[in-house]
Amino acid sequence: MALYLSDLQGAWVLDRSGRRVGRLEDLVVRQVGQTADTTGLVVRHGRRLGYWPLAVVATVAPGVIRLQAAGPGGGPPPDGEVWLVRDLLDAQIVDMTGARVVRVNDVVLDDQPERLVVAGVDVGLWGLLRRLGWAAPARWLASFLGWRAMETFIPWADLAPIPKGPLPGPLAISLDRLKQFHPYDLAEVVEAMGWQQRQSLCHTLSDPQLAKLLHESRPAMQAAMLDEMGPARVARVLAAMAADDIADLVADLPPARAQALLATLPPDRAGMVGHLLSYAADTAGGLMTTEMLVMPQTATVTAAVRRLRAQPLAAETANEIHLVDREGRLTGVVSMRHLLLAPGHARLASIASPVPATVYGHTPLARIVDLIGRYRPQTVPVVDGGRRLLGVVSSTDALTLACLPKTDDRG
Amino acid sequence: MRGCLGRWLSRAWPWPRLPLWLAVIGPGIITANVDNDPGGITTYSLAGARFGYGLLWTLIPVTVALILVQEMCARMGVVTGKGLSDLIRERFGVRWAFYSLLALVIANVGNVLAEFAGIAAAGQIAGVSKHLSVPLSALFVWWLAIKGSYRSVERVMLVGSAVYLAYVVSGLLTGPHWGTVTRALVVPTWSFQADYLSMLLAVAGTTITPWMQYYLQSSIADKKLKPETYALTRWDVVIGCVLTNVVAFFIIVACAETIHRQGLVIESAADAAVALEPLAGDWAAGLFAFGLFNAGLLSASILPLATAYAICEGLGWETGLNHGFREAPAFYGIYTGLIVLGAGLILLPGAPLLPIMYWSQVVNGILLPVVLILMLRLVNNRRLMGAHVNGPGLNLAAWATVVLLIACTVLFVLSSLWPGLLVAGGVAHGPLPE
Repeated sequence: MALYLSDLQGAWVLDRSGRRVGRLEDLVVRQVGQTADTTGLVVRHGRRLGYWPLAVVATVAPGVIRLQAAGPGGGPPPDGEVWLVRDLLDAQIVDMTGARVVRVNDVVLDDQPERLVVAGVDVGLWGLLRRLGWAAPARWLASFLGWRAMETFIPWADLAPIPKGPLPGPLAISLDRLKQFHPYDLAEVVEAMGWQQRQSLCHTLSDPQLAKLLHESRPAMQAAMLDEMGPARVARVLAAMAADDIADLVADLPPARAQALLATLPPDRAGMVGHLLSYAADTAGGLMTTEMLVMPQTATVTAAVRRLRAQPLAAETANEIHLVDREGRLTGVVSMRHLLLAPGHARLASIASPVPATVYGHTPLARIVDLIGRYRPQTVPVVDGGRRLLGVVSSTDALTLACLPKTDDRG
Repeated sequence: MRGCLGRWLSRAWPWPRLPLWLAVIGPGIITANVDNDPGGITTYSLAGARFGYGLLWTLIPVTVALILVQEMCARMGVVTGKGLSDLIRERFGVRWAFYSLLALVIANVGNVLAEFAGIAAAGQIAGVSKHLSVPLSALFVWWLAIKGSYRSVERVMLVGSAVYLAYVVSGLLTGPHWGTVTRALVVPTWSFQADYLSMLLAVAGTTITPWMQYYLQSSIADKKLKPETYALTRWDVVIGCVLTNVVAFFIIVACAETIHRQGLVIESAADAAVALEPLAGDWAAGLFAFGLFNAGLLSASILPLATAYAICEGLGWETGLNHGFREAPAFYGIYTGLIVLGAGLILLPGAPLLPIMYWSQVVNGILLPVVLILMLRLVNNRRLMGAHVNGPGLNLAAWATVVLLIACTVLFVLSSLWPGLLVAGGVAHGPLPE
């Protein structure tokens, strides 16, 4: 039978002979595997809190709880365990299936023989109304208007609680499960955390994971995270980031902090990032990355593959090889598919496709989007006046920026 | 007390680390500027016009109280990284959170109304009908937030707040007798005249409001400021509070030296502009109208947004302008509703504006003690604040402030409910057109 924590909160607790022991203050639970079992009750008698293990509880019903034991008393409550009202009710949780942060309006318990299991939490409007004591009139109104009562229930196995306090409480968030989130969703979850929880999460993430999280976070959050990392970690995380992502990061920082960050980069990368920063954010120069595959057009397929294996490039632009002539001028592009299908002795120039469109560093975003719409390329090369290749804009990046709502709320 | 406050303030003087300080600057000073809304300008003007320097001394205790209260909020925001409504919900449960937020909405309907009333009054001075100025401003404010560029415009309006400097210059130009002014500032005077008491309460009530605590803490939590840089945040808050009341000081001085000295009575917003004549001469009315308009627009763009954020955070609903209406209907609903209600009531022919503003002041007054007591309990919660709880000296000062403010608001509420109790003539809490 399903019970709501809100119906039990403040319920009279009666002993064997029907005398009042006190009012129910809280339920203590313990996580065993995928489920959380109630281990006992915390009962308030005046100013005193007493603890009764579940074994002495006879029946649990809304508004009244009967014990098998006699008389007042009860042991001292276990402070270090999870208390449902104190630690979970009204707290924020991560809904693991929806990857969103919601607030616990009520806790649903399952009354099984000899057990009281936490089934999950109610995060919907009805839970809120029930807590406020308006459930009955609201239900009447809803049925009068013909609305269907929608329950919003999240099973215990699908949620990760975010502790209420800044200190890690007994309900420590299960960090391992959060790591499976897409960085964008993880950034939203981190936004709801206190700084101590954020620090411990960042501590357990790998450098590339942290780099992605940093890239998806708001500027204020980025600044805070960089501060918390310490110089050694910052250097490692920046090493795992693409140059254009570093440029985005640096562009949002206050000038003094940006300078300090650039100073930690190796000179060649710092130069690359500095060059990217010299363009406005919504131009080809501001969007492009200089981390791309560039090879001479005279190279053979075998040589190209050997080089790819020797220096793998983990960037979204690594699905194409850009070919240049002796002067560094762009002559064509080879897709990975063409490379894979071609015989080993073939020259790259012989399997290359012509580049449908190139842009200059100052070309505005709207023009790039227009070109992408026309030719559907994976990347748009950025060249200088002499057609020398400067970098490439990934189509995904350009389209994402073009689609984003222009808020400084998050961007 | 002074030594304690001094030590507390002197832990870090920000200037040697200027760039960092500039990075942290913000929430405190912005909140303080929004606090100087049309209601505030009107109240200070009326105080100076009616009583001359008689109420000047209240500015010092009000400033101290404002600093104490705002500092606690800022500290909670920094340490917990959460907004005030989040903390109330998590520590005191859904009932406290829900009903205090409900009161916040009711109080803020009145506040938003007062902001639009200021805009309407400014428009009328400039000869623009309120039927034009109010809907256009409401639409502008709404569109700003939906478009998401309100933060950049917020900065423009903060610069526009420099118009308050006009009061400083005007106050200086009137050539007040500084000995008298200093004495009036330092030596409390008292009168049991009903008007006087009511005005005193209005000054305290317009300076320390519930919404400020929610707004300040949320913006600080939002900026992800950390305990290590807290000394700078505290300076931001202290300077903001002092700035607000320096402006209030000069408004009172300017009004005392002009309107009060000439024995004039403020009957409409345009009358209050006389205080700027020493500086602006014939342009005084225009300058005053601009100041009022800017203040109204700034506050009207921040208040509804701050309210919507506080409610959605506390009740666990989707917040934020990056989500779109379909994902965050409650957020947009509350935000839009507040603007429509505030601006609409001004335009509604025969709408009972005075009762609405009185009642929202009453709800403001009832809410403030509740918020303050909840705040004090939160800030002293070791589970939450760890080593950053109030020290005994600060606690004593804070509780004394809270008790005084509660006494003030109880008086304020009673006098609003039964105007005969204190008020003989009745005190408007905001500029009302027509």
